[in-house]
Amino acid sequence: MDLSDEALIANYRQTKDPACFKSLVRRYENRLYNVAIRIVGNAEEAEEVVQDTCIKLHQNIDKFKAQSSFAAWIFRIAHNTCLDKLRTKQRRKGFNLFVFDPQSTHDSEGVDTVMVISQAADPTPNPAETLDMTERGEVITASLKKLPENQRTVVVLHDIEGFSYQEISSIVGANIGTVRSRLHYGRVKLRELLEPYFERTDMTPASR
Amino acid sequence: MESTNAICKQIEESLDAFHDGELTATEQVLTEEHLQDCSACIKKLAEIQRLVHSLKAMPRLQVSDGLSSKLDQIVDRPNNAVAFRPKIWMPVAAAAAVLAIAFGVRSGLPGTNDGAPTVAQSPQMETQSVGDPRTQVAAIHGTKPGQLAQQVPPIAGANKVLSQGTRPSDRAEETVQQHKREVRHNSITATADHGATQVASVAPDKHTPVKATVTTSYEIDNEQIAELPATTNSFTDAVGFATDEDGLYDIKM
Repeated sequence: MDLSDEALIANYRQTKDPACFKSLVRRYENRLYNVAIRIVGNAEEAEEVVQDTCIKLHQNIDKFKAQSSFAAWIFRIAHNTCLDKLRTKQRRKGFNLFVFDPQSTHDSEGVDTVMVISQAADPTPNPAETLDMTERGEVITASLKKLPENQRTVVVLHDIEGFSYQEISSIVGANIGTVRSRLHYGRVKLRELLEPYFERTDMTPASR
Repeated sequence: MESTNAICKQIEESLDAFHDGELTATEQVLTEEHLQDCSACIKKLAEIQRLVHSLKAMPRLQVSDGLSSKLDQIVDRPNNAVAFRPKIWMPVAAAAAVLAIAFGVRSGLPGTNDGAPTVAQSPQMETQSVGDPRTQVAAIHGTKPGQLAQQVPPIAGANKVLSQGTRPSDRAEETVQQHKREVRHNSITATADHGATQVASVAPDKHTPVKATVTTSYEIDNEQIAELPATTNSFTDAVGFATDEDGLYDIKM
C-alpha cells in the first residue's frame, strides 16, 4: 500500500531513510518538470528548476507543516524557483525597452516583461505556419508561451496539473479572485491564439 | 438588448469558473438561468470546454535518466548534488576583486603616492609620517606649526614652485623625495646616516623664496609633529577624502 505524502515525510524525518525521500521525489519529478518547462520555456532550465526544487525540499523538509497539502507546498517552491530563473534571464537580457510592447497585456508585474521578451526572442511560427504543424502539443505550447507569466502559470496549474483555485492561490501567493481573473483572461487569449488552428482541424469535439 | 449584452459580459467572466465548478452557489444558479436563454454564452462555454480538453490532452513529458540520478544524489550525497553553475554576478565580482586588489597594491607601494599620506606600517612610522611635504619640511626645519601654516601654501602650489625652480632646488626636492623613501624603508630605525645638508626653496603665499634647511638626520621631535595642524591635500580634499591621524583614508560625509 502506498503511503501518503505526509506519511513519507514523517518517516523520513524519523528514520532519515533515503528511500522515503526518493519515493517522494519520484512522485513529483515529472509533474514538476511539466510545469517548469511550460513556465520557463526550455528543457535545460526546467531540469535546473526541478533539481533546485528538490534540493530546497531536502533542505527545508522539516519546515513543512500539514496545514496545506504537500503538493501545493512543493509546487510553491517550484513556482518561486521558476520566477527566480525568469528574473535571472530577464536581467541577462538587461534592458527595459520591451516593457512598452503594445501586445503586453494586463497587470504590469515585473515578470510580464519576461513574456514579452520571450515573445520577441522566440521564433514561434505565425498563425499561417501553425496550420502546418502536426503536433497539437507543440501548437498549444507555442501559444502558452505568448501568455503573460502569471496567466500562463495559472492555466498550467489548473488545466494541465488539475489544481483547484484554492491550491493555486496558495502556490502563487495570490487571492482566489486574482487566480480566477488570471485564468479567465489567460483562456481568452489562448482561445484567440488557437482559434485558427481549431477552425481548420477538428481537434476535439466541442460538445460534451 | 443592451441589458442582455451587459449581463452576457458579466456572465462571460464567470463562465470559466462555472466550467471549473468554482462559483458560489448563488453565482452558479444565476449563470445556469442565463445559459438557458443565451446561445452566445452557450457557445463561449463550449469553446472553453474545447480549450480545456485540449490542454488536458497535452502529452506528458518525462524527466531524463540523468536528471533522475541527479535527484537521487540529493539525498545520497547532498554536498555533491548540484553541479557548478556560473551565476550572473560572478564576472562582476571577479572584476571588482581585481580592481580592489590592483588599487590596494598600488596605494600600498612605497613611493607611489608622493604627496599623499601613507598608511603607517609600524608604531614608529606613525610618528614619522612623511605624507605631506609641508609637514616634513616643518619637522625637519624646526619651524613652528603656526608659522609654517602661514608661510607655506597648499601643496600643489609648493610643488609648482619647486618644479619651476632652478636646478639646485630641483635637486633639493629629489633629495627630499629620496629621503622620504628611505624613511619608509627604514621603519625600524628612523635615523638615516647620510650626514649631508641640503637647502630647499619653497614658496610662500607672496612668491617670496624661503630657505629651508633640510637635514638628513631624522631625529624628529614627536611632540612637534603632534602639535602640527591637520594636513591638507588639495587633491584629496577636492574629491572628498581626508586622512585621520593614523594616515588612513576617511570619506567626508
